[in-house]
Amino acid sequence: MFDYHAAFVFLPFTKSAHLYTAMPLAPALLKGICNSHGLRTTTIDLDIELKHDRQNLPFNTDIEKYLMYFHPMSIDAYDWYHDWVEKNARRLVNLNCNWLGFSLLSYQSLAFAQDICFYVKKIKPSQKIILGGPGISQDDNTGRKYKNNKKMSDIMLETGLCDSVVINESENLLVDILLHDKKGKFNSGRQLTQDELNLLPTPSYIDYKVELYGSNNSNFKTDTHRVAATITGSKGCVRRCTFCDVFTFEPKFVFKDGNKIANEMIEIYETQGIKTFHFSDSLINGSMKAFRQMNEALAKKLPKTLSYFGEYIARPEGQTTAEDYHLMSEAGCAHVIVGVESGSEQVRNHMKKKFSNDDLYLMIESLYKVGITQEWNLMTGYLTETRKDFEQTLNLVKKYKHIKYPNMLVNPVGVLHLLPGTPLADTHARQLEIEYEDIKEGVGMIGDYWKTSKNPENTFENRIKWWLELIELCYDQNFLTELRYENKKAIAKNMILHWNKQKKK
Amino acid sequence: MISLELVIGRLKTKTPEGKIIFNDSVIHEGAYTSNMIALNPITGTNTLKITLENKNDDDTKLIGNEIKEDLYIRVIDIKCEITKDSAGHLDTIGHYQTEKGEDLKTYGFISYNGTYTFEFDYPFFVFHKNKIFYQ
Repeated sequence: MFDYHAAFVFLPFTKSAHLYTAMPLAPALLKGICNSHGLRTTTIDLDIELKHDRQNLPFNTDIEKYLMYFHPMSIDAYDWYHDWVEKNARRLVNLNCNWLGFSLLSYQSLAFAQDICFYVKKIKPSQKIILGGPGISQDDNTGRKYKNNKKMSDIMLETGLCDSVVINESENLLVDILLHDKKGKFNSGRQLTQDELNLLPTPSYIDYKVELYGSNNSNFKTDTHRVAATITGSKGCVRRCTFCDVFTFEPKFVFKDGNKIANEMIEIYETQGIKTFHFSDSLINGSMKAFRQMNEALAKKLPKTLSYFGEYIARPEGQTTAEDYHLMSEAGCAHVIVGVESGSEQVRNHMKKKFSNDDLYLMIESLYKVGITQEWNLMTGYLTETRKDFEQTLNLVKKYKHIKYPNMLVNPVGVLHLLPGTPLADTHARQLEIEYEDIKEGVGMIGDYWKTSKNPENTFENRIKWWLELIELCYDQNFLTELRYENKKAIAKNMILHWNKQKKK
Repeated sequence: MISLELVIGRLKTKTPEGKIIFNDSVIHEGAYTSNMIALNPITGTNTLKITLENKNDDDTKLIGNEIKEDLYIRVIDIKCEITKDSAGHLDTIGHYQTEKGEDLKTYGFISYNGTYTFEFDYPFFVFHKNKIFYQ
């Protein structure tokens, strides 16, 4: 007899990118779905546990680089990491579950997934393992191959590291797989419909170790415990930005009824005691109708009680009113992350962001007026970006010097990374004659090293130089904390080192 | 599934004999006749032992300093048929000990009576991240 039908485990690696620390959604939602079918399950977040255990180790960066890029570790890091993975594999096996379900958020979960599967199967070969999430679905969605012309999911299955893989959304497939011990690769081949999304049960966060999320986040100089539950209001995106791969796994934009979202938040608050919410949506204001409905319901039922944050887009003038911003504030919107990307309209137009400088200024000032903190994501070295364009990004940051931290945070995310499956890596790559530089790649790194004859100014060296310039400006203006500043500079330095080392060969 | 590829060095009148033991199961015993042997690995650490047991001193035929005929087994590759990865450098993952107790580095050649023991984790793409392969 098993103690659980399944344990759903969120795997490393993620970077703390938010002002609040959010508990991962996928295991909590799958637990909610299983609860509604009478199955006994539990959830574990190994990502936060590993972060917590490694944070003060002298070789922490070695472990990060391995998890992100399969980069070899130092011997000390290797020994510590493998002891940790083996110990946790034993712990998972000892839960006595029929299935272990591993959730892979991105390709940066793959190194850990291989290792934890290896140790679990080594300890208990009969332990059934199912993998799901964007990390394992990416090859199937983009046609990329891992080894011997086979996708990562097939290699994991055929070598026996796992028993089942769900490509893309698992909500409608999972219970059948668990109950009937189905093995192999499953793909519903479609997204959830709006009706199906509205029928999903409320995620259950009760099994996570909440105390691990409450530690101060030195990336943002926060001093209060702010743990958030992740919820979904919509899937897919209303934009199709050229650099983004969301539409490869969620091609349609579907959204929940605004009242349903508000009720879900209230239910989690009342039954699980969580007051802060992180939206997993590509954009919380993708559907203005649902967004308004949700804010109205929250402002009416629980004004100024809950707080939430998520990704937000500047909309053309008139689509969001002053009343909308007040309502957001009343409903508990505390913080938004905005993909500003560039200060140049020309660059943003090519990206298909679809907002003008005036739209952007209006959004920035409106958010500031109602006390919602904002964080901009900016990138450098977009395909068509020139030095002149880049200077407009610098000017945008300077323009809002008067908005003080933490009302304004700016995240100079990095240089343009060409993701497989995106319009940039496919259609535009041909039109703009993109060539990949002759750089030995780590997993996922090749997308950083490219050039185009159509914009010769945009070389790898220049992109990194611009990025460093932007990092310095953001730090000078106090839009970037010292830790984040140092981390960004270290990443840039590593990229230059890799470039120099490989180019010399 | 793993394939073990061998070269079998025979004399006109004699074939090498020995055992192949994979994870404590004897999968071959007697005269070596097949160059390709399929192995069914477990996830985790696998041990492969290949022995040569019937070689005599006069089985190496020399003309001057040149070997004209010899009795031996040579391991060419240990390869995963799913990924087409090889297990790794044969003297990194294996050691060869003769029946006289000498440890030799022979890159897969078994030309004295003795046992070549290979230890490797499966799948190989996980094994290749092992620190023994770090430069």
